[in-house]
Amino acid sequence: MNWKIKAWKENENGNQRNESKETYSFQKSFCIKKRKTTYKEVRDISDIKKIDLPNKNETLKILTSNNTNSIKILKIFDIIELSIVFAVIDKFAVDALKQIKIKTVIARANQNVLLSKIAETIKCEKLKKKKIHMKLYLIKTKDSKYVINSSANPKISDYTELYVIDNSTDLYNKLSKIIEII
Amino acid sequence: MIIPNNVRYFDVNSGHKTPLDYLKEIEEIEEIEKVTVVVFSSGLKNIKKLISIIKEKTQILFIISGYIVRMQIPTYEFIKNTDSEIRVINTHCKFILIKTKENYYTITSTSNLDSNSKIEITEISNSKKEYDFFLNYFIKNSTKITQK
Repeated sequence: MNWKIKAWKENENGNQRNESKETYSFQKSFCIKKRKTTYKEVRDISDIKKIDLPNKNETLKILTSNNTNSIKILKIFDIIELSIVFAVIDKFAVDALKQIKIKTVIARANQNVLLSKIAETIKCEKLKKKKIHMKLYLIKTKDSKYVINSSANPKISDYTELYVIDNSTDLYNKLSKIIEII
Repeated sequence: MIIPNNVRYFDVNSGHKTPLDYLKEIEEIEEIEKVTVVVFSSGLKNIKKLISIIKEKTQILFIISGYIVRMQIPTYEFIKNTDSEIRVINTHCKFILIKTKENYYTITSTSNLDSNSKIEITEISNSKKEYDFFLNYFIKNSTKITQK
């Protein structure tokens, strides 16, 4: 069966992929107070350097295109500690993350073997492999705690991606607790 | 579900609730005027579910990725045969933008329309400014598909 027909059949079956049969149940919802929010489009990589990070308790929502990637966004921050949750990673991101103190990595359990092995080479306090599709970057700097809730994995992407950057201790703490118990 | 405009709602779950479930909850209590779906990938089953949730007169705008056009042919053919406007953009992010009589909801999620057992995060907010920003971005940066 060629790859195109295979993809078609997968889609007819409700987009099922070759996931493990592991059963896992998690559900947690919460609200936070909405604060001042700024919206920005980033078309070119050079524009990323011009991003003004949100002030305390403020939010910045960015849509990117043209090969911007989450690692370039991370470089804006003066990171003391990072927790990162993703489905897929590439070797360029692994190289960049080696330079940062990583607290927790949660990676998709059954991404391909090569990428899983790369993920394991990141030095971190805790590495969990889960059936995960969300992408989170919890960033601690000297003065602030930031959350990036994104559509983007730590890898090169030429798609339009969303980055929601919150300078919020409250949201950071809530999501930290969630990734601790996942 | 009504999200007040001074809060942001977050849901982290492993297949308990999809963006379509939230759309259904909103539809049950408010009159939806327009739905814009921005999606990277979707099986035919989920597009049919989306159509079944929304009332016939409601305007639907599909902003789909090239992945659907190239790889998910049954889904694409089905969408083309609806009366909805279709636009294509190279997107990996997923949105459902919902305009009701009184509210402007933005549902953004790491989840496509399908239900799966992977852990996903969804955020819902109610803000005209936010709704307008995302809708304008996706219209401005997408290509309209001429149907039939």
